Amino acid sequence: MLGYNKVCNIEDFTDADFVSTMKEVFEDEVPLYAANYPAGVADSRQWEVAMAVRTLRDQGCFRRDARILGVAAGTGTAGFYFTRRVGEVIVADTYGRAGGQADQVPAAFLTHPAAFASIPFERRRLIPMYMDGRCLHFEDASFDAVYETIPPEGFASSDQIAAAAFEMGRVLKPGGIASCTAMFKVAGPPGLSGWAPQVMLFAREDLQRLIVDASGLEMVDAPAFEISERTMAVRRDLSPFMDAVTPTAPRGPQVALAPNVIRYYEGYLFASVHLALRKPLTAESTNAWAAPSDELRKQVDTRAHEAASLGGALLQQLHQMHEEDDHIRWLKSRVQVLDAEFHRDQAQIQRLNEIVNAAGLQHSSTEAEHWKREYDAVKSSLSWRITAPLRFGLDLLTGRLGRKS
Amino acid sequence: MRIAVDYKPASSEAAMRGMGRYTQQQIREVLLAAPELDVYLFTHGPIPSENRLFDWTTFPNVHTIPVSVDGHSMDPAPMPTYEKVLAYSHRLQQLLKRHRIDLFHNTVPFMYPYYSAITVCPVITTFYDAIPLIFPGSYFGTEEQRRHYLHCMTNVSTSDHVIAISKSAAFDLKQYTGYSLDQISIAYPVIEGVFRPIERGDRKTFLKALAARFPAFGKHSGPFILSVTGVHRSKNAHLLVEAYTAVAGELGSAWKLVIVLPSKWAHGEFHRRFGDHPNVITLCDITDEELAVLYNQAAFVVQPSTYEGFGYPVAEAMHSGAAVITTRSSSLPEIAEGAAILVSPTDPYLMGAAILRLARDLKLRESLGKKALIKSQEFSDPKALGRATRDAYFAAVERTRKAPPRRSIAVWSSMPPLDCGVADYSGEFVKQLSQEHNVDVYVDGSYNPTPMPWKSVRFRHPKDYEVDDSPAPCIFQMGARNYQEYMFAPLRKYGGLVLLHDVSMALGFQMLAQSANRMAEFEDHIVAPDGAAALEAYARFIASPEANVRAAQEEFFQKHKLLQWIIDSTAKQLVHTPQLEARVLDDYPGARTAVVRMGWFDRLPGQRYVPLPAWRIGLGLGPDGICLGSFGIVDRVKRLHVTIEAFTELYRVSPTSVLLIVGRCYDNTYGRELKAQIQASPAGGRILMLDYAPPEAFASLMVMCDGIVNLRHPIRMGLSGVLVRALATGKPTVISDIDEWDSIPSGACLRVPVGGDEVHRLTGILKQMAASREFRLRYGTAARQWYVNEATAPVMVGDYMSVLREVEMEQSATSR
Repeated sequence: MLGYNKVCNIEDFTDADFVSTMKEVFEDEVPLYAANYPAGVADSRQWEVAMAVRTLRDQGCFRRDARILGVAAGTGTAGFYFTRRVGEVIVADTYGRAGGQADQVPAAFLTHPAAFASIPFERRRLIPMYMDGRCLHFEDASFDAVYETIPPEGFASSDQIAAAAFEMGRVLKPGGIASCTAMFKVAGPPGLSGWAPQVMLFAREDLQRLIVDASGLEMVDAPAFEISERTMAVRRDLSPFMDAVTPTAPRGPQVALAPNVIRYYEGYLFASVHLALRKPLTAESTNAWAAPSDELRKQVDTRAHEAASLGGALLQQLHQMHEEDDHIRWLKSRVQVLDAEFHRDQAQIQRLNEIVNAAGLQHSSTEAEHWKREYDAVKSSLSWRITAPLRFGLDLLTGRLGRKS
Repeated sequence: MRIAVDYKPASSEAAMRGMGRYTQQQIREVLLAAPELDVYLFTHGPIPSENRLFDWTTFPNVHTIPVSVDGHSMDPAPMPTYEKVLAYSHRLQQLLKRHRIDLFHNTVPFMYPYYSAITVCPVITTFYDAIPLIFPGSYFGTEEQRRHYLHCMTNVSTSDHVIAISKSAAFDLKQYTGYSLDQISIAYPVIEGVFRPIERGDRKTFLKALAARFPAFGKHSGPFILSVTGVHRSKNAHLLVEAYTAVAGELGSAWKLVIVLPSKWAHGEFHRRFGDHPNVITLCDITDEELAVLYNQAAFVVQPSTYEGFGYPVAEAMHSGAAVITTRSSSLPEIAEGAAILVSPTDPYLMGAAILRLARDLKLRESLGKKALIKSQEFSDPKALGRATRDAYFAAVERTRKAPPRRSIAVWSSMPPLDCGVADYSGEFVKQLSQEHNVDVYVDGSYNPTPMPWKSVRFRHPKDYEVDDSPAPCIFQMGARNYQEYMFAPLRKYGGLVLLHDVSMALGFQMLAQSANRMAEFEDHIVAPDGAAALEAYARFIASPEANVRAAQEEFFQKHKLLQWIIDSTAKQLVHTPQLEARVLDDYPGARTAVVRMGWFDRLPGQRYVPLPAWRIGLGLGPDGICLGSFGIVDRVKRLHVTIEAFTELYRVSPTSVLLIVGRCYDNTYGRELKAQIQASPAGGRILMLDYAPPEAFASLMVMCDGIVNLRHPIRMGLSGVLVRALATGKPTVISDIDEWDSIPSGACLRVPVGGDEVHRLTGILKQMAASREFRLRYGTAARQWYVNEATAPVMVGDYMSVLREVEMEQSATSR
C-alpha cells in the first residue's frame, strides 16, 4: 500500500487504490483517455490531489460534520471533490490578485465557482474566500482537516513558508489532519532552492524544518522521499530548456509532455512531494518561532487591498502571442519573405508577358523577330520539348529588351 | 584498432587549460598505454609549439589529418550556419570512412553539433560538465544559444560511450539526460608534475618575475590567500569576495587575497563586477611554473566554485602541498574530501569563518597540506588516465559490436520550426518513430531545425545517405513547397516509402520549377513520366493563348496529377485515407498504395495546467454563450466567410458567444474580405482574428473552445492535420460533407453540405451546440474516442512500420 508522506513516483500510478482514487476524482477525464488511464498520462498535480483525497479519506475526515479548509487552493479540483464528502469546504486563496498569476486565482471564482468545476460538486457546501495562507483569519482549532499547496507564488522566504505551516497547524483541531504538497528538489544548482526568489524547492531537511516542525504537527507515517530509477527514466525531455526563452506555451514551467512526474526547469529537476500530518491531541507548543511576524501580517493586509484585475492575464497571453515572442517574429519575417518571393515571381511573370507583347507589337529588331518566329513555332508544334530553348531565347531577349528599355 | 581523435582543443586558445590540457594529456597517456592503437589526430589549423603539451610526432603510430571543407578549416565562425554544420559532418564521415576508422573520439562535444551525425563508426565523447544545464540562466542569453547547446547535446546523447572527467560529471549526465551510467567511463585528469612542493629558495626567480609584471603583488611581502578562479557563474567568485570582505578586518591588512584569473578579459571583468579592494590583488596570464610557485607561497588556497566538472586548481594546489578551502558541490568533494575544509557554496558566513580559522591555525594548515599531498596522488598517476582511456575505447567498440541492433530509418522531410504542415507533422512523426528506432533525418540545411536532443535522432546532410554501408530504408514526406524540393532527386535515387501529403501537388511542382528556372527538368522528370497524353496536354497548355492560360492550367492539372515519377521511384505510396488511395489508383492503376492513419501526440494532458476557465471568463462568455474556433491557415477553401455568416446568426440568440479565427492568412484579398465581413456583421465585436498561434497555444485555444468549425472546399485531397488535432481535443467538430473526409465516422463529427443551405445547416448545428451541453459532450466524447483509437502518434508509426515490413518481405521474396 502506498504511504502518505512520499515523493511522487511513476509506480504510484499503477497502485490499485491510487488508480481507483484518481478515476473517482477525475471522472471527467476517464472517458477521454485509454482504458488503462492514468497510465501514460501520469501527472504531478493530479497526483497531489489524489494524495490529498486518499489522506483525508483514510484518516477519517470524510464525515458530514467535518469542516475542511483549502489554503492556496486556487481553482483546483480537490475543493470541488471534497464538497461531496464533507459538510463544509472553505476554499481560500488570494483571488483577484493582479499580475502574471491572475488567471490562476481569478476573482470570478469568488462569485461563480461553477465556471471552474470540471466535476460535479455540492455548491451549498463550498465557500470560496479571499485569504492569504500566511495569516489565516480563523480561530484556533476550527477545522477537521486542511489541505494546502506550499509554497504558492508570493511566499518569498523560508520565514513565510514556516508562517504558513504554523497557521495551518494552528487552525486544525487536535487530532485533525493536514495534507500538504510541495516541490521536491531532485537536482539543481548546489545550495540553491529555486529559479526565482518566490519559488522554493524543498530538500528533505527543509520539509522537516519549514513544514513539519513549523506546523507543530506529526507525520502520519514514515516518510519515503526516494525517487525510483523508473521515475527518473520516464522523461528527460529538455524542451523546457528552450521554454525559458521562448515561452510559447501558455503554461507554467512545471509541465511538459506526459508523463509529467520528474520535471526540469532552469537547471532544476524536481518532483511533487506530499506530507500527511496530524495534530497531536495534547502537546506543548514548540513552534512559536514560526508564527507570522507583525511585519508579515502588515504585508499580507497591504496585499489584500491591492486592486484586483480580471482577465488581464488572458490579454497578456494574447499580446505575447502576437507581439513579443521571438519565434513569432521569426515566423512573421518568414511570411514576409515568402510574400515578397511570391510577389516577385508574380511581377516577373507579368514582366515576361509584357515583354512578349512588346516583342510582338512594338519591337522589330532582328533578335525579337527571330524570337517571335521561334515562339510561333512552339505554338504550332505542340511539342513540349521545345520549351527549353524557348525559355533560353526568352531570357536572352528579356535581357536585351531590358537594356534597351 | 584505428582511433580518430578530434584534436581541435590543441588548436584553440585554451590548448593548455581545461579541455585543451585534458585532451592532450589523455592522448599522450593513451599512446603510452596502448602502443597497438593507430591514432589519427584530426587537426584544425596549425598547432603552435607553445600549445603542445607533448610532441606527438615522435609516436610512429600517430597520423595527423588536417580537416577542412573546401580548403577551409572546420572552425569557420563561432556559430556556423546549419548548412555548414551538415557539410562538416558529411566531410567528417568521408574522412572516417576513407581512413577506415574504428572509433571516433569527440573531445569537444559542446563546441559544434557536427558529431551526432557520425554513423560510419562508433563514437566516444568526453563529457566535462553539465554546467549549462544546471545554470542555464547564467549561460544563455538568447534562444539561439540555447538551441545551439541542445543541438550539441545530441553529440553526447547519440554517443556510443562517454568518458566523464569525474564521477560527479557522470552522475549529472545521467540525472539530466538519462544517459546510462553503464556507458560512462571515468578518466580523471592528471595533475602535471610541475605542481609540486617547491623549496623557498627555488621560488625566488618566479616571484621576482611576477613582482615585475604585477607591481601590487611585488609590494606585498606578507601572507596571502590564493584563489585560482574565473568570472563565470559556476566559479562563484562573489562568495569569496563577500566572505573575504567580511573577515578582512579581523585578518588585518597584512593578509592579502591574491586572485589568479584565466585571461585579460576575465581580469577586466572581475574588476568591473567587484571593483577594487585595497587588499585584493589580481593576476592573469600566469604560467604553470608561476602558478605552482604561487600555490607553494600562499598561506592557503580557496576555491569557491558552485560547480566544477573537475576542479583543476583544487587538485593542483593539493598536489603542491597547499591547505585548501573549497565547497561541497559537484566534483570538489570527490577531489578534496578528507584533505581540505569543505563549506557550503552559498554561505559567505561559513566561508568567512573557514578563512579565519585557517589563517589563524598554522598547525591545521600544515596538517591539511600533508593530507592534501597524499590525497592528490589519486590524480597524479598519468598511467591511470592512459589505462582508463584505453579501456573506454575498447569498451565502446565492444559495446557497439555486442549491442542489439536498433533499426535505423531515414526520414526525408522539412522539419519544425518551418511554417508548414509537413514540418509540423514530421516533428511528431520523428519523435514517435525515435521511441523504437534510430532516426536519421535528412534536411537541407537552409534553416536551423528545432533540436531533438534525444538519443536516437540525428540530423544529416542529404549527401551523407550514401556514406553508410547499409543505408537505412527511406521514408519521404512529400509536399510541393520549396521546403521539400531538396528531396526530389534523392527520392528518385533511393526510393523507399513516400507519404503524399497532397495528391494535387502538380501545380506546386510547376511553380517550384518556374521559380528556379528549371522547367526543362520539370518537363523531363515530372511531366514526361506521366506519359504521352500528359506531354501532349502539357504542350497544349503552354501553347494556349494568353487569355486562356488560367483555364488551360486548371484543366491540365485537374487531369494530370504528375505523380508517376514518384510512383516509379518508390516502393510504396502512402496516403492517409482510403478515399485518397482510391483517387490515386483511379489515375494510376499501377501505383502501389497503402493507407497509413494520420496521428498526433496527445496535447490534452498538457492543458491541465492552462487556466482555461479564467480565459473563457476573460472572453466574456455568459451562461448561454459558447466559444467557437476555426483553426489553421486562413484561406478561401476554409470557407470562413460561411462560418462568419452562421456565427452571426448564432449571435442573435447567443450574444455572448465568441468566434476565434486562429491562423495565418496568406491570401491578402481573402483576408481583407473577411475583415470587411466581420466589420459589417452585428456580431463583429465577438469575432477575433488571432493570426498565428504557436503549437502549444494553438492546442490550448482549441481545448478552450466548446466547438470547432473546420469547413473545406474545394479540397486538395489531403486529410487535414488541423481536423485530426481538433478531434483529438474532444470537442464537437463541424466539417464539410465531402468524400475525402468520409473516413471520419459520422458519430465523431458533424457534417454540413458544401453550398446550398450550408449556412443554414451550420447555423442550426451551432445553435444546438449553444443550447445543449449534452449535445456537445456526446460529439466531443465520440471525437476523442476516435482519436484515441485511430489517430495517435503510436498508431500512425505502427502503420508506417507495417507497410515497411511488407515492402521488405516483398523485396526479399523478389531477390530470392
